Amino acid sequence: MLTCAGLQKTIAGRVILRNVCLQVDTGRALAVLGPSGVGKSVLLESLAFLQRPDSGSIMIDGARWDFGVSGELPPAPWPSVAMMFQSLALWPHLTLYENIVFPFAHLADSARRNRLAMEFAADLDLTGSLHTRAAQASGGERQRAAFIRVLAADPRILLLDEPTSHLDGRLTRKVMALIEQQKERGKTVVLSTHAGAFAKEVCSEMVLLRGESEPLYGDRAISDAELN
Amino acid sequence: MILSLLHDYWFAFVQGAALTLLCAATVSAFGLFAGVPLGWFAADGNRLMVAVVGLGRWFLGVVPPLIVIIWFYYPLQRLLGLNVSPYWTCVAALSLVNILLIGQIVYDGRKRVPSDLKSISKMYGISLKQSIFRVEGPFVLRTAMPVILSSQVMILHSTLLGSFIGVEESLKTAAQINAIVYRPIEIFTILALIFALICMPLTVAASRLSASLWSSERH
Repeated sequence: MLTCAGLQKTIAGRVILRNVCLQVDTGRALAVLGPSGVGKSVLLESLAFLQRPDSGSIMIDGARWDFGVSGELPPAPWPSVAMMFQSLALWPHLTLYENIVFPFAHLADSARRNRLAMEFAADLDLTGSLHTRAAQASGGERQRAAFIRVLAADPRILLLDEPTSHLDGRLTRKVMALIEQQKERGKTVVLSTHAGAFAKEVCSEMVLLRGESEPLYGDRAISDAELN
Repeated sequence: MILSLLHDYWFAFVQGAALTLLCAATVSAFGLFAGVPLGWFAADGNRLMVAVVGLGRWFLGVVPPLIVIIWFYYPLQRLLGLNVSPYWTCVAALSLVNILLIGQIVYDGRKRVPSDLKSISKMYGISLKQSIFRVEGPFVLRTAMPVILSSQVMILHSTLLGSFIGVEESLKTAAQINAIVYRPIEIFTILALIFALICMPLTVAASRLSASLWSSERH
């Protein structure tokens, strides 16, 4: 389970996260929604322990991190928490295959992760493009590779920043199926998206970030007017 | 006329060109050996290295390489009570310039690595060695190499300044031949051709690298 309470973050004098409180149970998915620039990526990066909130706390399966108080924080729970970036964060000089497997090459179970990665690549029709250099791959190929990398990490918590922005309807449905599979395996998923229909299909809970105002929390019933 | 000069003085031209190349290669080697770690560790936040890169940026902007060479040859040696040959003085002075220049290029290159890529390394526990040799290193090399190659062409040109303190490189050799036969047009045309021959491969390599970097990027 992932819980956060009272997360606050100000960047260059602007309040990006205002008192964000979330709880996502194991095997569930939450969508983070909101207009461009409202702070969806900042929230995901905070949950990934890549950005440090000014205050608030994050709890993961009993472990707790309190920000804005004195004292040293426990180490970040990597790679139990893994993030897929909106920018995809692929090394351009490596092939898609190398981008996927290289992060795990030093681990004892790298062979298992490689096998998982190849299965996911086959599911997402990427097998034929794996040996393309990332700099020369299409946006859709790169996005699928970034998604497979985070799945192959086998984390307990998946943070996905715009996982389908470059994908067509068919591939988006495949991504949805893989996210469902991850939920069935007991993973916790938090994703950000502009696609309201995708969010409603995959996620049972939603949070709408609204900049200076406090976030709006809801389930699939959150209105389309608020999503748009 | 050019051919007859080449016939009569080919050995002198070759000697001058060889010394120019040797000087430039030595300066480049020092520059890479010390400049790359300087820029790399400065980008990591090492305060001393950051200060050196910062001061170097200012220094390179305000002090011409010729002044550095002359200062190394006259005032510095007098202050330190040394007597170093013109060749090694030129190498030392240009090496300082090159170390600061390459340090700056590598520092800027590392600073341009997107933070997301660094985050991936952190999240997945990629070791420092793996990060340097497989990830950040090749990334920085791709972006910095065309600039480094072009800067080494400039360093090669700067070796001509050694003639001001008596280094027997290409320009001094050409001037000595001219003092004997007084054929400035032909002699300095030969000098220009020698430099074109030496610098062309580096310049072409730098533009091709730069072009291939842009053309291979789909995004």
